[in-house]
Amino acid sequence: MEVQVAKMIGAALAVLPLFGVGLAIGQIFSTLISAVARNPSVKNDVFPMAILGFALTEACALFALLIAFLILFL
Amino acid sequence: MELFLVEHRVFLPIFFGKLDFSISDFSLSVVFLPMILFLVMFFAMRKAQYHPKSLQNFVELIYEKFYGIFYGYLHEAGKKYIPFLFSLMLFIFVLNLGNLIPGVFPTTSQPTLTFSLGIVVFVLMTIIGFVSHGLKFYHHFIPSGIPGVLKPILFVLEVFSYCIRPVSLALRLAINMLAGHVMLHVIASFSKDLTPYSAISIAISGVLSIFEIGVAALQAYVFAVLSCIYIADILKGHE
Repeated sequence: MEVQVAKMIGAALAVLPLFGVGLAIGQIFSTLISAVARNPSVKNDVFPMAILGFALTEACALFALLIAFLILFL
Repeated sequence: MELFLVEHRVFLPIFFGKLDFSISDFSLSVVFLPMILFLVMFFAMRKAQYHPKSLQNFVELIYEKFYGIFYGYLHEAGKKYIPFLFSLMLFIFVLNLGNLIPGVFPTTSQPTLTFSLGIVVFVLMTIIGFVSHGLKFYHHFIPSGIPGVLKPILFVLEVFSYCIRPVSLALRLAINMLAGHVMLHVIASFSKDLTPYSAISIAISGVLSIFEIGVAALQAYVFAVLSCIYIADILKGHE
Protein backbone atom coordinates (compact mmCIF):
# COMPACT_ATOMS: atom_id res chain seq x y z
CA MET A 1 0.00 0.00 0.00
CA GLU A 2 1.31 3.42 -0.82
CA VAL A 3 2.01 5.83 2.01
CA GLN A 4 -0.39 8.46 0.67
CA VAL A 5 -3.28 5.98 0.58
CA ALA A 6 -2.48 4.77 4.09
CA LYS A 7 -2.43 8.38 5.30
CA MET A 8 -5.86 9.02 3.82
CA ILE A 9 -7.30 5.88 5.43
CA GLY A 10 -5.71 6.90 8.72
CA ALA A 11 -7.24 10.38 8.48
CA ALA A 12 -10.64 8.84 7.76
CA LEU A 13 -10.27 6.60 10.81
CA ALA A 14 -9.20 9.58 12.92
CA VAL A 15 -12.52 11.35 12.44
CA LEU A 16 -14.55 8.32 13.59
CA PRO A 17 -15.06 9.95 17.05
CA LEU A 18 -17.59 12.19 15.29
CA PHE A 19 -20.01 9.30 15.88
CA GLY A 20 -19.82 9.70 19.63
CA VAL A 21 -19.73 13.48 19.45
CA GLY A 22 -22.88 13.54 17.35
CA LEU A 23 -24.66 11.36 19.89
CA ALA A 24 -23.42 13.57 22.72
CA ILE A 25 -24.53 16.84 21.15
CA GLY A 26 -27.95 15.34 20.45
CA GLN A 27 -28.12 14.21 24.07
CA ILE A 28 -27.18 17.68 25.36
CA PHE A 29 -29.87 19.44 23.36
CA SER A 30 -32.55 16.83 23.98
CA THR A 31 -31.90 17.20 27.71
CA LEU A 32 -32.03 20.98 27.37
CA ILE A 33 -35.35 20.81 25.53
CA SER A 34 -36.92 18.44 28.03
CA ALA A 35 -35.64 20.52 30.96
CA VAL A 36 -37.08 23.72 29.49
CA ALA A 37 -40.32 21.96 28.56
CA ARG A 38 -40.78 20.73 32.12
CA ASN A 39 -39.93 24.06 33.73
CA PRO A 40 -39.80 27.02 31.29
CA SER A 41 -38.74 29.47 34.02
CA VAL A 42 -35.35 27.74 34.32
CA LYS A 43 -34.40 28.51 30.71
CA ASN A 44 -32.05 31.42 31.42
CA ASP A 45 -30.11 29.36 33.96
CA VAL A 46 -29.81 26.20 31.90
CA PHE A 47 -29.05 27.64 28.48
CA PRO A 48 -25.47 28.88 29.19
CA MET A 49 -24.64 25.49 30.72
CA ALA A 50 -25.95 23.74 27.62
CA ILE A 51 -23.91 26.01 25.37
CA LEU A 52 -20.82 25.35 27.48
CA GLY A 53 -21.38 21.60 27.29
CA PHE A 54 -21.95 21.88 23.55
CA ALA A 55 -18.68 23.75 23.07
CA LEU A 56 -16.74 21.27 25.21
CA THR A 57 -18.18 18.35 23.26
CA GLU A 58 -17.56 20.01 19.94
CA ALA A 59 -13.95 20.53 20.97
CA CYS A 60 -13.56 16.74 21.16
CA ALA A 61 -14.64 16.47 17.54
CA LEU A 62 -12.19 19.19 16.61
CA PHE A 63 -9.33 17.44 18.42
CA ALA A 64 -10.09 14.44 16.22
CA LEU A 65 -10.04 16.78 13.24
CA LEU A 66 -6.65 18.09 14.42
CA ILE A 67 -5.29 14.55 14.41
CA ALA A 68 -6.66 14.06 10.91
CA PHE A 69 -4.91 17.26 9.78
CA LEU A 70 -1.68 16.16 11.44
CA ILE A 71 -1.85 12.82 9.62
CA LEU A 72 -2.66 14.37 6.27
CA PHE A 73 -0.37 17.39 6.15
CA LEU A 74 2.65 16.43 8.25
CA MET B 1 5.75 20.71 12.33
CA GLU B 2 5.04 23.23 9.58
CA LEU B 3 1.41 23.31 10.72
CA PHE B 4 2.49 25.37 13.74
CA LEU B 5 4.76 27.76 11.88
CA VAL B 6 3.41 31.27 11.38
CA GLU B 7 3.54 32.21 7.71
CA HIS B 8 3.14 35.96 7.81
CA ARG B 9 4.20 38.78 5.57
CA VAL B 10 6.84 40.84 7.33
CA PHE B 11 6.68 44.55 6.57
CA LEU B 12 9.45 45.79 8.86
CA PRO B 13 11.83 43.25 10.40
CA ILE B 14 12.90 44.20 13.94
CA PHE B 15 15.06 41.74 15.88
CA PHE B 16 16.49 42.02 19.38
CA GLY B 17 18.90 39.12 19.48
CA LYS B 18 16.69 36.12 18.77
CA LEU B 19 13.45 37.85 19.81
CA ASP B 20 11.24 38.71 16.87
CA PHE B 21 9.48 42.08 17.17
CA SER B 22 8.86 42.45 13.43
CA ILE B 23 5.90 44.46 12.19
CA SER B 24 4.00 41.93 10.12
CA ASP B 25 0.36 41.34 9.22
CA PHE B 26 0.17 39.12 12.32
CA SER B 27 1.22 41.87 14.72
CA LEU B 28 -0.80 44.53 12.90
CA SER B 29 -3.89 42.33 13.22
CA VAL B 30 -3.26 41.74 16.93
CA VAL B 31 -2.72 45.46 17.59
CA PHE B 32 -5.36 47.14 15.45
CA LEU B 33 -8.39 44.89 15.98
CA PRO B 34 -8.34 45.35 19.79
CA MET B 35 -7.73 49.05 19.09
CA ILE B 36 -11.26 49.21 17.65
CA LEU B 37 -12.57 47.66 20.86
CA PHE B 38 -10.55 50.14 22.89
CA LEU B 39 -11.94 53.09 20.92
CA VAL B 40 -15.53 51.87 21.32
CA MET B 41 -15.04 51.46 25.07
CA PHE B 42 -13.19 54.79 25.34
CA PHE B 43 -15.85 56.82 23.55
CA ALA B 44 -18.63 55.01 25.42
CA MET B 45 -17.19 55.71 28.85
CA ARG B 46 -15.39 59.03 28.21
CA LYS B 47 -18.21 61.13 29.62
CA ALA B 48 -19.82 58.52 31.84
CA GLN B 49 -23.14 59.74 33.18
CA TYR B 50 -25.39 58.59 35.95
CA HIS B 51 -28.21 58.24 33.44
CA PRO B 52 -26.42 56.51 30.55
CA LYS B 53 -27.08 57.45 26.94
CA SER B 54 -27.08 55.16 23.89
CA LEU B 55 -23.51 53.83 23.55
CA GLN B 56 -22.73 53.86 27.26
CA ASN B 57 -26.01 52.06 27.84
CA PHE B 58 -25.02 49.36 25.34
CA VAL B 59 -21.58 48.81 26.85
CA GLU B 60 -22.95 48.70 30.38
CA LEU B 61 -25.65 46.24 29.33
CA ILE B 62 -23.03 43.81 27.99
CA TYR B 63 -20.78 44.26 31.01
CA GLU B 64 -23.57 43.69 33.52
CA LYS B 65 -24.79 40.61 31.65
CA PHE B 66 -21.37 38.95 31.81
CA TYR B 67 -20.67 40.32 35.28
CA GLY B 68 -23.70 38.32 36.44
CA ILE B 69 -22.49 35.15 34.72
CA PHE B 70 -18.94 35.40 36.12
CA TYR B 71 -20.19 36.42 39.56
CA GLY B 72 -22.26 33.24 39.65
CA TYR B 73 -19.03 31.23 39.54
CA LEU B 74 -16.61 33.45 41.45
CA HIS B 75 -18.85 34.95 44.19
CA GLU B 76 -17.54 37.70 46.44
CA ALA B 77 -14.02 36.29 46.87
CA GLY B 78 -13.10 36.39 43.20
CA LYS B 79 -14.99 39.54 42.24
CA LYS B 80 -11.78 41.40 41.39
CA TYR B 81 -10.92 39.01 38.55
CA ILE B 82 -14.10 39.76 36.60
CA PRO B 83 -12.69 42.76 34.64
CA PHE B 84 -9.73 40.63 33.55
CA LEU B 85 -12.01 37.83 32.36
CA PHE B 86 -14.31 40.31 30.60
CA SER B 87 -11.46 41.98 28.72
CA LEU B 88 -9.98 38.57 27.87
CA MET B 89 -13.32 37.54 26.39
CA LEU B 90 -13.76 40.74 24.38
CA PHE B 91 -10.15 40.55 23.14
CA ILE B 92 -10.69 37.02 21.81
CA PHE B 93 -14.10 37.95 20.43
CA VAL B 94 -12.81 40.95 18.49
CA LEU B 95 -9.89 38.95 17.08
CA ASN B 96 -12.18 36.04 16.13
CA LEU B 97 -14.62 38.38 14.45
CA GLY B 98 -11.95 40.39 12.67
CA ASN B 99 -10.34 37.24 11.33
CA LEU B 100 -13.49 36.47 9.35
CA ILE B 101 -12.83 39.55 7.20
CA PRO B 102 -11.06 38.42 4.01
CA GLY B 103 -7.48 39.66 3.92
CA VAL B 104 -7.07 40.01 7.68
CA PHE B 105 -4.48 37.62 9.06
CA PRO B 106 -6.24 34.84 11.06
CA THR B 107 -4.50 35.31 14.38
CA THR B 108 -6.66 33.20 16.69
CA SER B 109 -6.28 30.17 14.45
CA GLN B 110 -2.54 30.28 15.14
CA PRO B 111 -1.48 28.19 18.15
CA THR B 112 1.15 30.87 18.88
CA LEU B 113 -1.42 33.40 20.02
CA THR B 114 -3.82 31.03 21.76
CA PHE B 115 -1.04 29.29 23.69
CA SER B 116 0.18 32.71 24.86
CA LEU B 117 -3.32 33.45 26.18
CA GLY B 118 -3.46 30.00 27.78
CA ILE B 119 -0.12 30.61 29.52
CA VAL B 120 -1.40 33.96 30.82
CA VAL B 121 -4.40 32.21 32.36
CA PHE B 122 -2.20 29.41 33.74
CA VAL B 123 0.24 31.81 35.41
CA LEU B 124 -2.68 33.79 36.85
CA MET B 125 -4.23 30.59 38.23
CA THR B 126 -0.98 29.56 39.91
CA ILE B 127 -0.38 33.02 41.40
CA ILE B 128 -3.92 33.13 42.76
CA GLY B 129 -3.42 29.69 44.24
CA PHE B 130 -0.23 30.64 46.07
CA VAL B 131 -1.54 34.02 47.19
CA SER B 132 -4.86 32.78 48.54
CA HIS B 133 -3.72 29.46 50.04
CA GLY B 134 0.00 29.99 50.61
CA LEU B 135 2.04 26.81 50.67
CA LYS B 136 -1.11 24.82 51.47
CA PHE B 137 -1.91 25.14 47.78
CA TYR B 138 -0.79 21.53 47.37
CA HIS B 139 -4.02 20.46 49.14
CA HIS B 140 -5.68 21.42 45.88
CA PHE B 141 -4.06 18.42 44.23
CA ILE B 142 -5.06 15.86 46.87
CA PRO B 143 -8.79 15.08 46.93
CA SER B 144 -10.02 14.55 50.48
CA GLY B 145 -11.55 11.31 51.69
CA ILE B 146 -9.30 8.87 49.84
CA PRO B 147 -7.11 6.14 51.35
CA GLY B 148 -3.45 7.05 51.90
CA VAL B 149 -2.06 4.56 49.41
CA LEU B 150 -3.81 6.25 46.48
CA LYS B 151 -2.66 9.77 47.41
CA PRO B 152 0.66 9.85 45.48
CA ILE B 153 -0.97 8.45 42.33
CA LEU B 154 -3.84 10.91 42.50
CA PHE B 155 -1.44 13.76 43.26
CA VAL B 156 0.46 13.06 40.03
CA LEU B 157 -2.79 12.76 38.08
CA GLU B 158 -4.18 16.01 39.49
CA VAL B 159 -0.97 17.91 38.78
CA PHE B 160 -1.03 16.57 35.23
CA SER B 161 -4.65 17.60 34.72
CA TYR B 162 -3.82 21.03 36.19
CA CYS B 163 -0.97 21.51 33.73
CA ILE B 164 -2.99 20.31 30.75
CA ARG B 165 -5.68 22.97 31.29
CA PRO B 166 -4.03 25.84 29.35
CA VAL B 167 -3.15 23.41 26.55
CA SER B 168 -6.77 22.32 26.17
CA LEU B 169 -7.98 25.95 26.36
CA ALA B 170 -5.53 27.04 23.68
CA LEU B 171 -6.05 24.05 21.40
CA ARG B 172 -9.83 24.35 21.60
CA LEU B 173 -9.80 27.97 20.48
CA ALA B 174 -7.17 27.49 17.76
CA ILE B 175 -8.69 24.35 16.29
CA ASN B 176 -12.23 25.73 16.34
CA MET B 177 -11.20 28.80 14.39
CA LEU B 178 -8.91 26.79 12.08
CA ALA B 179 -11.73 24.36 11.31
CA GLY B 180 -14.03 27.27 10.50
CA HIS B 181 -11.51 28.84 8.12
CA VAL B 182 -10.77 25.51 6.42
CA MET B 183 -14.48 24.82 5.99
CA LEU B 184 -15.10 28.27 4.45
CA HIS B 185 -12.07 27.79 2.19
CA VAL B 186 -13.26 24.39 0.96
CA ILE B 187 -16.84 25.55 0.30
CA ALA B 188 -15.70 28.74 -1.41
CA SER B 189 -13.18 26.89 -3.60
CA PHE B 190 -16.05 24.98 -5.26
CA SER B 191 -17.09 28.21 -6.96
CA LYS B 192 -13.75 29.17 -8.50
CA ASP B 193 -14.75 28.03 -12.01
CA LEU B 194 -17.80 30.34 -11.95
CA THR B 195 -20.29 27.93 -13.51
CA PRO B 196 -24.00 28.63 -12.86
CA TYR B 197 -23.88 26.05 -10.06
CA SER B 198 -21.32 28.09 -8.15
CA ALA B 199 -24.18 30.28 -6.93
CA ILE B 200 -25.04 27.39 -4.59
CA SER B 201 -21.60 27.28 -3.02
CA ILE B 202 -21.51 31.08 -2.72
CA ALA B 203 -24.86 30.97 -0.92
CA ILE B 204 -23.67 28.18 1.37
CA SER B 205 -20.45 30.01 2.20
CA GLY B 206 -22.51 33.11 3.01
CA VAL B 207 -24.66 31.11 5.43
CA LEU B 208 -21.55 29.50 6.93
CA SER B 209 -19.97 32.93 7.46
CA ILE B 210 -22.97 33.89 9.61
CA PHE B 211 -22.56 30.58 11.46
CA GLU B 212 -18.88 31.41 11.99
CA ILE B 213 -19.82 34.70 13.67
CA GLY B 214 -21.77 32.63 16.18
CA VAL B 215 -18.79 30.31 16.64
CA ALA B 216 -16.51 33.32 17.19
CA ALA B 217 -18.74 34.62 19.98
CA LEU B 218 -19.20 31.14 21.45
CA GLN B 219 -15.49 30.34 21.59
CA ALA B 220 -14.66 33.67 23.22
CA TYR B 221 -17.38 32.99 25.81
CA VAL B 222 -16.17 29.43 26.39
CA PHE B 223 -12.54 30.53 26.84
CA ALA B 224 -13.52 33.16 29.41
CA VAL B 225 -16.01 30.94 31.26
CA LEU B 226 -13.57 28.04 31.50
CA SER B 227 -10.84 30.36 32.81
CA CYS B 228 -13.44 31.64 35.27
CA ILE B 229 -14.32 28.10 36.39
CA TYR B 230 -10.63 27.23 36.84
CA ILE B 231 -10.02 30.36 38.93
CA ALA B 232 -13.16 29.69 41.01
CA ASP B 233 -11.98 26.11 41.53
CA ILE B 234 -8.65 27.31 42.90
CA LEU B 235 -10.18 30.02 45.11
CA LYS B 236 -12.55 27.50 46.65
CA GLY B 237 -9.84 24.96 47.46
CA HIS B 238 -10.41 21.25 47.25
CA GLU B 239 -13.14 19.84 49.43
